[in-house]
Amino acid sequence: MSLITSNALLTFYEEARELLASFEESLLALEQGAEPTESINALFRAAHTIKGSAGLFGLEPIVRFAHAAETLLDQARSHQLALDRGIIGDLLAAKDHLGVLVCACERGEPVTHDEALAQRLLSHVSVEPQAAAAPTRSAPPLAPSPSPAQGPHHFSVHAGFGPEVLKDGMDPLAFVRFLESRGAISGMVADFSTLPTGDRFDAERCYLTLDFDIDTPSEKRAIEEVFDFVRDTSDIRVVERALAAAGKGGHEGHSENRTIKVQADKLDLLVNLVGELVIAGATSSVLAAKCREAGVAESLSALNQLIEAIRDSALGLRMVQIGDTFARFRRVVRDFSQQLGKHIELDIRGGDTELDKAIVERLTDPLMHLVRNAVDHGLETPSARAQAGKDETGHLVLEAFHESGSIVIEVRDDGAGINRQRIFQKAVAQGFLSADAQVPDEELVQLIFRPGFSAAAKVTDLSGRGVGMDVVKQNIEGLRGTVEVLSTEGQGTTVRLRLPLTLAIIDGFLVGVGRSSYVVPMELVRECVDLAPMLESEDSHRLDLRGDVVPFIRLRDLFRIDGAAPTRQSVVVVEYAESRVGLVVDRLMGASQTVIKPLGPLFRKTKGIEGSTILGSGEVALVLDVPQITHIATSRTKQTKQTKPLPPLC
Amino acid sequence: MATVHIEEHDDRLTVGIGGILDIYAAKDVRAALGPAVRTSHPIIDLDVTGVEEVDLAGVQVLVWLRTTAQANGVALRVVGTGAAVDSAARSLCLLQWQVSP
Repeated sequence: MSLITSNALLTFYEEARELLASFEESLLALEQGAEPTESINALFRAAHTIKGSAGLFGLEPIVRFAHAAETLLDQARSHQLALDRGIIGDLLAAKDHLGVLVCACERGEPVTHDEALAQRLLSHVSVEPQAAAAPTRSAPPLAPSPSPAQGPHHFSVHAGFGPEVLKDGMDPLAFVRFLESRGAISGMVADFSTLPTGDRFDAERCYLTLDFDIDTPSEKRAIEEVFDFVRDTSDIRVVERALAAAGKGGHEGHSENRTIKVQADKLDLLVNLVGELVIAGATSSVLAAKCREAGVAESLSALNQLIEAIRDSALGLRMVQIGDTFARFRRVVRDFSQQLGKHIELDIRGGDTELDKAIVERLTDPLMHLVRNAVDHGLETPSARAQAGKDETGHLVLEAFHESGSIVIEVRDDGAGINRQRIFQKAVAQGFLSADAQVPDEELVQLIFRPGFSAAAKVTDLSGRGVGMDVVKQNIEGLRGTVEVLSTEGQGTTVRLRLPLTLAIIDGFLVGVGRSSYVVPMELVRECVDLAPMLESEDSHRLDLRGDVVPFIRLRDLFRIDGAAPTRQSVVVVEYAESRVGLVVDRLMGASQTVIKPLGPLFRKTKGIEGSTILGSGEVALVLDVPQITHIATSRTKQTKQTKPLPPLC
Repeated sequence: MATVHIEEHDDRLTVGIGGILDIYAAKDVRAALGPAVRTSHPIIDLDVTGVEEVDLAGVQVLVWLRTTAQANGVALRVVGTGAAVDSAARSLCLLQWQVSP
């Protein structure tokens, strides 16, 4: 396969997935009572385009299966068939199967389409199935048509045949058949709109206009030659098109696009290169500061501003809206609620909130766990809700919004909430707690994140929560994020995910302890103060910050750095998830753009560190994991209050 | 040579077309179908199983039959189709006349 074809195939797979996603969206909208004409047209166009594009690449199983869906939708489009819930259900199954076929073709696996499902789709059609069932039908089962030769040339053909073409002994159908032997035809539109009804029809006059695409090894001249005998009396146009644009199939490709598709790998490479540029810029700045040349420093300052702008633009390219990810859950909620006999309304808010593509991709699984948990265990059946005096329809909200430099995603339901008594009993039974333990409610709820706890059988039956919550927590923490659960018994549960805007490059604040340098994400830094005047009590690890009590932690202790601390130390006050914590450091070294490099496997579990970065001087600095340090500091303060021994830090 | 067979039933009209449906037969077939499109029945069941060959002129007659019937408020159902019509419908992407993908 040529490089061009292989790239076009990649485009096809990606577009097919997008089309299938919009296919599902339209079906769900129809089910919810949306205006049918527009939705059905969109559905037909999607099925038609997938079929046409798949035909271009000889992906027969997809063509054959999409054809069944297209036939059904064609009837719906011409008002011969109403799409009821049963048909919508079958079309949703068809969408799923097409998704499977597309994935299998992409992986190069042998595929066959689900003939039973195809027949089920066709059984809704009022014309063809009768023909199929009719005993008079004599057509033999069709063998898979051989894939026609494809080639590097891709043409769009328009043929408006003159009225006398048939009388001149020409048969446009024969032209099409000949061209089928010369390449792969797709997006065929045979327009008979000028063909009159009733007596005005002249059986020997030609009323046909054809528009189609052909992928062929033949040159343009060879395609044009096919129409040589009708050229004088007809309007024939053969135009070469870019293959990738042709992947769109049909005629939509003609319109000017405001967006272009770029492979994610290329964007990643760009971001990596920008990262290197940031480091190189910082190195130059250090050197310029040493040579004390005003001109050099000035030009470097301008250069650094440009680098910063390029960095922001490059990272901006990778930002995608969370709405598409949220929209997938409409189907999940629909299917699960039907399966469980529940009435659930999904409300999606803040779909236009943007997040780094890398984060969005890794969010799908955790969100899936949370949505399934809410539908399965959180929201009650209509009868249970009625008994509890609630609306029979449960509400599930998926919401995304910005909050102090982070993205917050909430999965909220108005279901039964977490039953703390049951969690407590289960925790005691499994040895996580002693029977006489006094555990505050908020800590009790956190137990659902314990791996052993949530993995235990039947936890969900008891607690109403728990399946895979440890996995959710792990995944979110892997994204430098946190998970929080708020639940009121009888009123519902909110799971709040807090995530960073991006994973790759951040504005950092550089601090020093001993000979080591550390980077604190700037978006989390609130202020810097001297330690001594604020020190409330060394033992309590708390600061008196203008009357507020703030826990602090010494990085020197946390990372076991040798040497005595200087007499004057500073505190960097950071805020994360509404908690403020002071980080005690030796030196404040100022702002610095930071390209986060992941830690190697050996150091991945090091507490308090989430990555490393290279400074302009060439030295390595460690990037602090503020969420984790905040957690250590706040939990240590609580334990100090309870006069229990401190946990080991590293 | 094409043949047209029209039969009246209580609730519908059945139309059978057979033979070679090409430019030479198109005019005659269209004329033979004249009474069919003017039927008072709400449904025409069309069987084109017997069509052995078809060209664009033949396809146009079938398209005319469908659109004229529809314009007259008559539903046209294809109850039998054969390889010739199916192949032409495939080439021109006319879904209503195909038997299978």
